[in-house]
This record gives sequence, C-alpha cells and structure tokens, in this order.
Amino acid sequence: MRKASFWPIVPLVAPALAVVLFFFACLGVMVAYSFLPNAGMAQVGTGFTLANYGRFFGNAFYLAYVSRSLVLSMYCTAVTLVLGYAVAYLMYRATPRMLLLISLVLIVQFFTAYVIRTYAIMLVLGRNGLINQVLMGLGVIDQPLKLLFNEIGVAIGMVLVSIPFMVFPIYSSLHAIPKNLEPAAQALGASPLRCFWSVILPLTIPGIAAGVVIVYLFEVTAYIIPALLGGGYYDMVANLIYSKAMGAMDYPLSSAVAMTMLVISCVIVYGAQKAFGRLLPRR
Amino acid sequence: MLAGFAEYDGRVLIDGVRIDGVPPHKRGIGIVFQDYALFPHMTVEQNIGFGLRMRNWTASAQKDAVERGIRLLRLDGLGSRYPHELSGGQQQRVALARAIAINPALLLLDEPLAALDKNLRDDMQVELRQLQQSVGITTMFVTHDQEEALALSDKVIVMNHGEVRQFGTPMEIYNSPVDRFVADFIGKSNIFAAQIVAEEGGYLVCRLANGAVVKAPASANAVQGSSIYLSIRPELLLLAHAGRPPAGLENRMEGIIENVTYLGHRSKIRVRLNDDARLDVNQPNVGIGQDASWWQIGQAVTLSWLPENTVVIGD
Amino acid sequence: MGKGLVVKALGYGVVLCLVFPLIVLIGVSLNAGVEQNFPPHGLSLRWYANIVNRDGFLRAIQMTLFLAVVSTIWSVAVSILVSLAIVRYKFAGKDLLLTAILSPLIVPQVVVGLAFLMTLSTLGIFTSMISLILLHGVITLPFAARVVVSTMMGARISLEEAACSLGAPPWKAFWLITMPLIRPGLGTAAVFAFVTSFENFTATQFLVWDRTTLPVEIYTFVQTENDPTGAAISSAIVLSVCLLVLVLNRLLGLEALTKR
Repeated sequence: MRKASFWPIVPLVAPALAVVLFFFACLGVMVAYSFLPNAGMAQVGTGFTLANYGRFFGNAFYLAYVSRSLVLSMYCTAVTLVLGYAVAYLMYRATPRMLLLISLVLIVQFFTAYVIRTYAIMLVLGRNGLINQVLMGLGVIDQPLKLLFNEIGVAIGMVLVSIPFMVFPIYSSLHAIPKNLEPAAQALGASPLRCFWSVILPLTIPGIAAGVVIVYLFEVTAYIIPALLGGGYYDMVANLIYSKAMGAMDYPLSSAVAMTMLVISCVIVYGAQKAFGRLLPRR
Repeated sequence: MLAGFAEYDGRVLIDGVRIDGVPPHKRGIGIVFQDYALFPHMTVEQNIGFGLRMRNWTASAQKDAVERGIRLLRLDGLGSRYPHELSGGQQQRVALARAIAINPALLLLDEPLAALDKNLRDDMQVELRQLQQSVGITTMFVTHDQEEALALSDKVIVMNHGEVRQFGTPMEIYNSPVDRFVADFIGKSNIFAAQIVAEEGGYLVCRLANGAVVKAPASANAVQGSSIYLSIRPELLLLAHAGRPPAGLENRMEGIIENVTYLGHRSKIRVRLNDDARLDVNQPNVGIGQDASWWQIGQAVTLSWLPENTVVIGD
Repeated sequence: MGKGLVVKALGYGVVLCLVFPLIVLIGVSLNAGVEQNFPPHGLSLRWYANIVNRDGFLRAIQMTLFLAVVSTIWSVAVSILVSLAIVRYKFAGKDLLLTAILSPLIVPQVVVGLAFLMTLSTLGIFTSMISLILLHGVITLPFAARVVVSTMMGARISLEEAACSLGAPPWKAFWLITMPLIRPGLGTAAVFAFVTSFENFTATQFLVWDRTTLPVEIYTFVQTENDPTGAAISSAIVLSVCLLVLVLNRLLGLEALTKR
C-alpha cells in the first residue's frame, strides 16, 4: 500500500465523495425542514421550532403507527428467523442440485421488485384468492377468511418477503462451519439434537445476528407491504410519512416523523452491533 | 526501492547511471516476486512474452525469445498452460523466464525459493546458480535463509533493520564476521565476552568471564586490557571425556552435557560451563550404533579447539 | 432423526410458499376473462397484448431501463475509482469514507425519498428525469461499491508491479492485468446496481412528477384497476428475472450473487 500522497487520490475519491455529500446534504435539508414551522401546502415559515416534534409525539394516534411498526415487526422477525433458519439448514444439508435450485428460487425473489412480490401475495390471500377457494372447497370454512387489508395480511406479507434476507446470512455462517465439527461432537457422545444446540447453533450466531438486524430494519421501515396488503387499514410509520408529505402536504411533520424513523434505524443497527458484538464467538 | 515501487532517500545507480526518478516500467530491472506474481489469466507463453509485447517487439522476435526462455528453463510442453495448472517449481521457472526475457541490466530475486519445500528448494538453488552464471546477468538475491545466501552468492550483504552490517564473499562473512549480529545470524556461533590480558607469540591471551584463559589470533586493532568478544563456531569445537582432551588443541573449557539433539549426520550438544553459560557443540556422527555417540546427558566433558579458530570481534 | 425430517419439511414448505405466489401471478396473467382468477378461467395472452395499449406502461418501461442503465454505469465507474483509493492508498478518514458510502443502506427508503423531495423542491427542481437520475445514482452506489471494493482487495498489487517491472506503464498494467481479473466482480456489482435501480419503488414514488417508473406504474395500476394487465406485466418481469438469473448463474456462478 502506498503512502498518504494527497494528489493521486483526489480524482479517485472525488465522485464518490460528491455522492456521499449530496446524500448527507439531502438528509440535512430534511432535518432542517423538521425544525421549521408548517405553512401548509408544502410551504414552510421561518424560524426554529420544535412544534413538529410536539405534534408528532403529542399525538397518540401518530405514535400508534410507531408502536405498531416496532411490535408487529418483532413478531414477524421471530417467525422469519425460524422459517429462514429452516431453509438455510435445508440448503446446508441439501445435495448440490437441490442447493442450486433453492438458491435460484431465492435469488429470483431478491431480484424481483417488492411491488410485484407483494402483489402476487395479494392475489393468493384475497377474498377469491386461492387459500379461501381451497378452504371453502374442502368445507373447512363457509365464509371466506379475511386475510387481506388487516394485520394478518401485512404479517404474512412481511414474513414471506423478508425470508430471503434471513436465509443468506444464516446459510453462509452454516457453510463456514468446518465439516468435521459435527462428527467430532457426535464422536464425543453428543446426540444430533444436542450437537445442533451446542455446536451448530452457537456458530451461526453471526449469521442470525446479521439476518435479524436486516429483516427487522426492513420490516420496521416497510412501505409497500402495509400499503398493498393492509390496504390503508393497517398503515405503518413509512405510510404515515408518505401520506403526510404527499397527501397532507405537511412537509415539516413528515420530516419530523422521518427523523424519528431514521434515529430508530440507527439505534437498531448500533444496538445490534453492541449487543451481538459481545455474543460473537472469537475465532 | 530498487524496483521503484517504494519511496526512499538516497541514490540507486546501475552501471554508474542514477535511476532515481525513473518510473518502474522504464528501469528495465527483471524481478522475480516472492509470490511469483504470474498473471493468472495468461498462459505461460503470454506471461513470458509480456515484457516483449510492452517493448513492441515483432511477433516473430517475441516468439523466438519466448521459445528460448522456455528451453532455457526446461518448460517445454507447458507453453499453453495457465499458472494454476503448474507446480510450484514450474511457476517459479516461468517467473524467472519472464524476468530474464526482457534482458534486464539487473535481476532482482525477492526470496524466490521461500514458498518451495526443502528438497525442491535445494534443487532450485543449484539450478539458479547455474542459470545465473550461464546468462551472466548481475543478480540480486534477497533471502532470509543464510545457507541459501552462502550457497548462491559471489558477494553477500548482511543487513539488519535496513542497515548494512557486512559486505563480503560468503567465506569472509562466515569466517570473519565483523560483529556479533553477523556472527550469530550467518550460522550459529558461541560468543563470549572477554578481556585481553596479554599478547604473546602472535596470539592474544584473553580471560573470559568465567575465568578461563584462551588464546586467539592477534589482530591489528586489539589493545591490551580492552574488552572484546570471541566467537567460536560449534563445528570447530572438539568434545572429549573430562580431563582427556587430545593434544595440540590449546584452548580448553570444562563443562557438563545438558542436552543432546540427534540430527542424523551430526549431533548438537549443549554444554553447561561452570559459570552457567551454555555452549553448543556439533559432533559428526561417524559410525552406526550407540558406541559412535558416547556422549550422554550429565557427563563431564572437556571442550578444546585451536586458537586459530577463535574469531575476535569488536562488539 | 425425526427432528431432521421436521426441519426439512418446514424448509421445503417455506420454499414452496415463496414460489407459489409467483405461479399464481403468472396463472392470473393468463386469464381469458377480466377477472383475476386462479386457476385461470380459459387461457389467453390478451392481457400481455394489452400492455402495449397502455401508453403509461411503455413510457415507464423506457424510463426504468434508462435509469437502471445510467445509474449502473455511474455507480460501477465511481466504485472502481474509489476502491482504487481505498485499497491501494493510505489516507486519513478512509474508514469514515467507506462507512459513509455504505450508509445509505441503513437509511430507510421512505426517508431517502422524503429527503430528496425536500431538497429538490427547495432547489425548484420538479423534473422527474433529473430527480430520478440523482436519486438512483445515489442509492445504487453502496451496492456496487461494496462488491467492487472487496473485489479490488482480491486483486494483488504485485501483479501490476510485475507488469510494470516488465515495461508496462501503470495505466497499461491496470488495463491489461487488473481489469481482466476484476471483471467478474464488476459484473456482479453491475447486476446489483441495475436491479436496485430497476426495482426501487419506495424512494422513487416521491419524485414521479412528470414521468413514472415501472414499479410505480404497476403499483398505481394494482391500486386503481382490476383486470389482469398488472399481472401480465408483473409476470413478464418475473420471467425476465428468471432468465437473467439463469444466464448469470452461467456467467458468474451463484456464489457471487448470494453475497448481497
């Protein structure tokens, strides 16, 4: 590595630095908006005010969006972890052909727009969707279940859409486990279940940590899933921000909410680094 | 620094011409890197010909030169292989061929044998020496392996922390090290602090810390009463049962065998002297069976050596 | 062993749940009637033909592809430059720079969109073309940079030095030696940047003043209309993605694509 020569790195760094600075400038403008008085119709007054934060934190109706996002995402992340781990473990044990097939499915999920995946789930869950048709055809129910435009629909969508985010980090930490550890543990008398709990699971904590953080962050900030599957009956924080900005044209309030969301995201990432950093096994 | 990749103070001259400020690609120094740095996406032929392409040689001239290199380094039949399809020794030879192909004023080999296993390394040493003499290119060979340095060189520079300690032929370096670092770094040495007490008959009489008095060859700058160090190579010491040293070896010391390491062709024996100092002795294992090596741990022994085999070093 | 079987069944079940909605989507797009039924009532490709009748979709496809191509080229180029600085030089604030480049990854998309909306409207820019080029240029960079930086770390500098010692000027050494070696990494980076731009909805929707993109157009269609045209265009995209993934699997291998 060459020394700190200043001039050669300027042209190399300049474009990236410009992007980064522009990005932070945009966030800065948003921060500024959150402290300006609202003048309605996308306009702001002058002078510093905390009124926007007051309007947000003083309103139980708005705060419900936040708690809804945080709590529902927690349940959904837990379910996603269990289901995602199952898929990752399946991949870990699968034959190369099967592994390729599952990977292809997951990558197709990755590369397909959330809008499309959510819309597809919507078609399955709808009043005349497949689930209701099958259940009614079997005579299990005689009224279609309400799986859409409520909490259940949003939860199902969140879990399904975020599973690939969970699978890959867990799979790569499973993949990194030396192949001889399991036979070694079993030779020492550990049952397969015991071996999983005391050898495999602890070694996949880094993957679990990464997956949980990515998924929770994604779910707390989800926009399309509540918008399509909640249909306006189960909005979350992101939807509140959008509707305040684009519907009510109240830029300062939506900026204040967005700032809150940004802080929550940073706390999640930072907190996870602190918490899991200590848990990670030293190698 | 020589190749121009690092910044430095001072001057570098090749054939009397200063090359500081000349960018690496115009220095014309052939380099064999420690990890060979073969281009993984090019065949052996393309690797060897790379420097010639950069010099815009004609296709036929390139082809001839590449073929010469392949023949010289016995890479026949491997021309269209990729580096990852070659063994370590073959990769090494490709790297050499590539460096030689540009007909460099100077060949720089940066620990080229470090990555090879011991047997291959020994073969390559011989081969390198022959090759270097047949192509006649001044070669600078960087190594941490002292034996390798002695085996391959006309001249050796011993460096410690970027500082030149000694410059000389392999024999000079080994037989008359200028300081303790060189004495201990190039081969093992037993080093004692000593004081010159007298000079008689062309010998210095020195008293060691443990009271023993030994003789060493006189040297010009040795002043009576001054403190010096004496270095004795382990293979120049003779081990004998206590009190029964052979006649003619004037310098003597008494001690007890503390440890014996059997190394096949020789044994390394560590002897504890009466002042707790340790001394290493190499004894050749001549003959087969227990009798040939009579030395045992705990045995009292006398060590003796010729005064001429003592080396006086400044510090 | 019973437990192993349970885990396996669960795993396969989850994979099926992931694939199934996409199959339903394709099924719905093949309906002969105007209802979004599955299984489809009668088979036809009329809804695919109907995509062409809707000017909005065509213009959105153009816009989306244009944005994806432009932001991919930009992000990969910027990533190559900055990764050279990061991997090959020592300078103060290097870690900070890398963190800053990757930081858009943890900022929620809705916040990014709002921040751009605030900024651009303050600047008086209400042209979607300009706004979206800026937005996509920013959001694709971390995805490309992450891959390119780690690829560049794998490209040994000693190879370029070897080329230089053999007489290649530095730019030629980079072009002839390092470039071919990092090409797969650049390909992966380009794919990530392209997909990130192509599928972005949440941030983009704040800036669709006079032009929309395909995800926004599909979302609007799904929210306001009921015939299977939305399913048709979505299915077309899903099928293109499948094709793309199969091709990439051939070219780059799946390993490269799973490290997102």
